[in-house]
Amino acid sequence: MEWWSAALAFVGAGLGSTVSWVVARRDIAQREAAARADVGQRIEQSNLEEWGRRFTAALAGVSSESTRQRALSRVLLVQLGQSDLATAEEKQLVLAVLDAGARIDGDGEDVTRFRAGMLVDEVVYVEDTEDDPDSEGGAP
Amino acid sequence: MKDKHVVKVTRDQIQSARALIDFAGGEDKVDPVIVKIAHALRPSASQSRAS
Repeated sequence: MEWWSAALAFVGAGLGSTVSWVVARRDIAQREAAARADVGQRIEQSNLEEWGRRFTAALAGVSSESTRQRALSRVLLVQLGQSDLATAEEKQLVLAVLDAGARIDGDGEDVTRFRAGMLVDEVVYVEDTEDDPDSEGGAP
Repeated sequence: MKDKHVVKVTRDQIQSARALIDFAGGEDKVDPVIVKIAHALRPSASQSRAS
């Protein structure tokens, strides 16, 4: 009978250590998965923050005094708006800013709104080149 | 005789209109007025067309 108890003790110890090894492995795997998810979330958060900084800069840039900066900011705004990071609300904001930029002239007037009672058959939009040095007859 | 109303737009407005069309995904996705602004005539072209 003594060898049975010894064998059972041996098998029990082996089983116990196997179970604890399996549990430990599972715990390590769960921690690794959690760590990977955490890193992924941090990267995503970091990307979102960087996107937000660039988006804010682009929005500020479209009203810059510099023609070049305004043009570059518009390009940036379109690119950021097309990014997967942009929400539907932010895409609407891009549309609204570009729409207003197209309609509002340098004096803050909406050129697409005409005076009430104004009857015209055709509206022709012409580029204002008075301040454009590249235009014909402009400053050298 | 047709009444023609000429509206002057800046280069910024034209570029914004073009960017809006690009962003929206085509000229059919925006207000036709925006398309007109995007295709605003250069003064020399408009003068030759008017004559």
